Amino acid sequence: MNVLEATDIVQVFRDGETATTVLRGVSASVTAGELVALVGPSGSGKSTFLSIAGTLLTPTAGSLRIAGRAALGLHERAVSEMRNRHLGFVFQFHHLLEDFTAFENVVMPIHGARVRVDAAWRARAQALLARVGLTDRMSYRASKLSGGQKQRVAVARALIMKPELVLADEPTGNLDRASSDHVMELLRELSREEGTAFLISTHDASIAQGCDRILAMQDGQLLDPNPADSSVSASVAVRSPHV
Amino acid sequence: MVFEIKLAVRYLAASRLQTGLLVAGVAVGVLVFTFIAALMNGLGVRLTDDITGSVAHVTLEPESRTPRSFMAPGRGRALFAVQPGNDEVAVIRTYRAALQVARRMPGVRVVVPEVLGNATLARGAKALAIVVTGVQAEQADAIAPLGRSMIHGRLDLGVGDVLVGASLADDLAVAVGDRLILRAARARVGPGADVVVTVRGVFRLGIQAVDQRVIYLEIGAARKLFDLASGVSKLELKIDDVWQARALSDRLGRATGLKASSWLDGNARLQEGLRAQASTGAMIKAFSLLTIAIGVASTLFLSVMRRRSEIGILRSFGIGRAAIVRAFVLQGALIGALGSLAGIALGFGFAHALLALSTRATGTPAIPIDPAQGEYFRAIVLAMIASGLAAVLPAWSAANTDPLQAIQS
Repeated sequence: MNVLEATDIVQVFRDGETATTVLRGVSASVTAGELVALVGPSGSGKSTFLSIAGTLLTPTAGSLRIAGRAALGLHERAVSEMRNRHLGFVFQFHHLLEDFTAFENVVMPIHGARVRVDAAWRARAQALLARVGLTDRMSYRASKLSGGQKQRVAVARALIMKPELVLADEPTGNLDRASSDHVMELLRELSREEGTAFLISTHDASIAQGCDRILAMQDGQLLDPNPADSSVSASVAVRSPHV
Repeated sequence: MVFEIKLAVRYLAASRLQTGLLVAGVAVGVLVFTFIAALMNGLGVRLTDDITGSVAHVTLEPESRTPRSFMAPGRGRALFAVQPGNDEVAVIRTYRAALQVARRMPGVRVVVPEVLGNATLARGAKALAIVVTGVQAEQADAIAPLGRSMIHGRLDLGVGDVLVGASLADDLAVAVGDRLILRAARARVGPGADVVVTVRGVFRLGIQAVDQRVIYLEIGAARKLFDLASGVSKLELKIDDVWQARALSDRLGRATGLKASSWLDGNARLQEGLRAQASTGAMIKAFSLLTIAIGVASTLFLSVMRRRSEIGILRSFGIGRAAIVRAFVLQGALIGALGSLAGIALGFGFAHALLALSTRATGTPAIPIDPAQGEYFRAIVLAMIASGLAAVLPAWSAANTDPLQAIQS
């Protein structure tokens, strides 16, 4: 089952008279439990595509289905509900609420579902925090955690609602090598354990190589994954780690 | 709602200094509000008490009659007429019925029958025109507070006794125990026209016209002086709520058929003054609330700016606009609640301290502040509403945060 189906996505940004086309008919899909890397040079449209896939940005044209449901043209409340129930986000910057504890940050999306944080939810949050190795940091304020710990809290938060798809935009971009590897290993394991698909935008070739599939973008288009001319595929900008 | 409360409390607690300053700002605004209320209301009460304390709240009198005249038939020439003022003294002859009606009227505290008339008070060669007020001895203190205004002698109206105003006593150079000659202005000439009276007390009400021209006499003696077989000149009333005087006066006028007037009729300027004072107070209070609102709004706007990325991330995982609005409006309301509680405590304490510091040796305060009239409950409610409303704009701005822009920034 496809948890993400994007068809002919076009995104044009207008600034007065100037129009910039960022995505030129991108079509992509992600199946349940799949770990997909989205690679490409800066400005290729990766983040824009991820924002559209996360319903944070409405495309100029195209269609989008999340977990089998049409995701465009919905009322704002329905979009919020879709994000809450079916999607998780991990950003380059963790975006934790600094004044809340690690545990409180993880349960935050549950409030968005307008349900009570009962014992079952608390147990899940604790299990996720334990899974990302933060059992002893649950009651720490986010502001007291290290960068790697914060990003692991963000991963647990992205998974709390058992989403079908987690969109990760450069999730290890601010981390050192060891923390980066740790986080990626976690994503791979959690993908298997939770059955959650991950679409990970990255510049890091080693991260991309560790995924089930790679989508390469250039100039607002997805490159053919099986090109007749193999040199085209080879030219996709998957940079060396941390260059 | 639990989440919104938690978010609001956590955001406020996170910026303790900012929240503390904001609460202090609201507290000062509420302090100004309650202080002005206590001062203006206290001043209003004192002015009203000063005036209504010494006069009747409602007066019932006989209708003034048109002087009699006899006209020649046809040509309209007056054959005989009595000029105004020369007619017989207006008297309520059957006053007991009106007295009962007035006493039974709800809101009436006391009804005092009085006999009034002009007379001359003489000592030796000096004679002064005065006004005689004849009252029952036990009601001498019922309208004007003669008891606490006595500066010499005592409040005792036996037959042949008089109470005189301090200025009048000075003018005639009389003291308690001195004897004076009293003569009604319309007395018949001849033996028995002069009445010898003894000064039993000297009072100072603080109203020059009364202190200089009025004497009090026992009502029976007054009737005899003015040659009235029965009846009274007027009924004077004290009522529970002085601001109901006009309505009560109208009802009493209809019920008794007498001419009824209230203390308000003769004190239009006081009413204007009190209204102007209330308007000024209301404006100052409104400005203090406006200051609170501006302070809360500006600080919350800064908070929204600072937390834009957090709000964006909350929105990204499905926290709705309404929840964000509620969280920020709650912050405003909480600041309003904390600030107003601190403000009324400060206001109450400040008003009491000022009252204590300004109280003279006589026991009366130089500053007419009344701490009980600080409108504390109203201050709390209005400050919370002002703070809550002031938070709406920042809250709306927060709710409209574009999650993508906020996250990318």
